[in-house]
Amino acid sequence: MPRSKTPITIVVILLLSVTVVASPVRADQEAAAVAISSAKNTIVNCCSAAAEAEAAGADITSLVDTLNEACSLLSRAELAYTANDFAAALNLATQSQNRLNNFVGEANTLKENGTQQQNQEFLINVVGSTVGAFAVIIAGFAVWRFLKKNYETEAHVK
Amino acid sequence: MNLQGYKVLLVFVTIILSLFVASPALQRLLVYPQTEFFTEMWLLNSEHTADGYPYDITLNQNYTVFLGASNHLGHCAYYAVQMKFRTENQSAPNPLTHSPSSLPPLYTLNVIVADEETWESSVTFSFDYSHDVNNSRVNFNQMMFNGAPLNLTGYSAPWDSEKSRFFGNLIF
Repeated sequence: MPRSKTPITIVVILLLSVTVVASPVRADQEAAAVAISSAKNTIVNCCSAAAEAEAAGADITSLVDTLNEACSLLSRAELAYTANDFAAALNLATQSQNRLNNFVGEANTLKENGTQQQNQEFLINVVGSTVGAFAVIIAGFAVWRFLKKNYETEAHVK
Repeated sequence: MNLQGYKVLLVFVTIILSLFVASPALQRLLVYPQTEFFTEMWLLNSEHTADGYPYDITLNQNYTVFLGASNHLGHCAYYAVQMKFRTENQSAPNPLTHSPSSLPPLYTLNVIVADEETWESSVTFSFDYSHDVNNSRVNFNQMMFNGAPLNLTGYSAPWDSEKSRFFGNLIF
C-alpha cells in the first residue's frame, strides 16, 4: 500500500502546484486583456470626441498628439501581451488610458469654441455679405433714381 | 452720356460690386462638397519609391521601409495597421475576397490621423534565423521590429525548389 500511495501523493502535489502557479498567471493575463480592450475603447471614444471637435472647426492638433501618445502605449501593451509579459501589458495599457484622462472634456471645450467661431464666421461671411450685397443693390437703385431725377429736371429746365 | 448709357453703366457696376460683396456667401454655395471619402495607404522602400522592396534577406541585417496613410475620410480616424509574417505554407491574404491572413498579428501600429492629414513612419526590421541543412528549412527565431524583439519561434520556411529560395512574406 505505501508503494502505491507515493505516486498519487506526487500527482496531487503536482496538480496543486500547477493550480497555484497557473492561477495568478491567468489572472494577470485576463487583467491585461481587459486593460488592453478598455484602452482601445477609450481611444475609440476619444477619437469620436476629437472628430466632433474637428467637425466644429476646432484645431485638434494637440488632441491628435495626445491620442497618438496613447496609441503608442497601446501598441507597446499589445506587444508585451503577445510576448506573455502580462504585467508590462497591464501597466502600459493603464498608462495609455491614463494619458486620456480629461480628454473628452478638452475635446468638448474645443468643440464649443469651434462652434462659436463657426457661428461668428457664418455671421460675418454669409449674413454680412448677403446684407452687404443687398445694400449695394439698393444704393445702386438710389443712385439711379437720383440720376434719373436730375436728368429729368435738367431736361425740363431746358 | 445719355440716361440709357448711365443706366447700363450703373447696372453693370452694381452687379459687379454686389457679386464682389456677396462672394463669401456665394463661396459656400458654389464650392462642391467632398463626395469621395477614402484613405490612401502606402508602403515605400528606403528611397521612398514604390519598387525595390527588401527581397533577399540576410541574417540580422536591418532593412527599412516607410509605411504611411493619408486621411480623406472627412473626419479624424483611428487606424490599426497589423504586421504579420508568414511562410509559404501559412495562411495568406486573399486579394480577391479582400480577406486578411488568419495568422495573429506580430505587431499592431495604432495611429490617429486628422482629416486631410498624413502620417508616415519608418519601419526597420531584421530577421534572426538558423538554417536546418538536414531538413532543408530555415527556422526563424526572432524578428527585430523598430527595435522591439518579436518572437518567431515556430515559423519555419521550407526550401522552395521552384524559386530556389526559402520564402517568407512580411504583410502589413
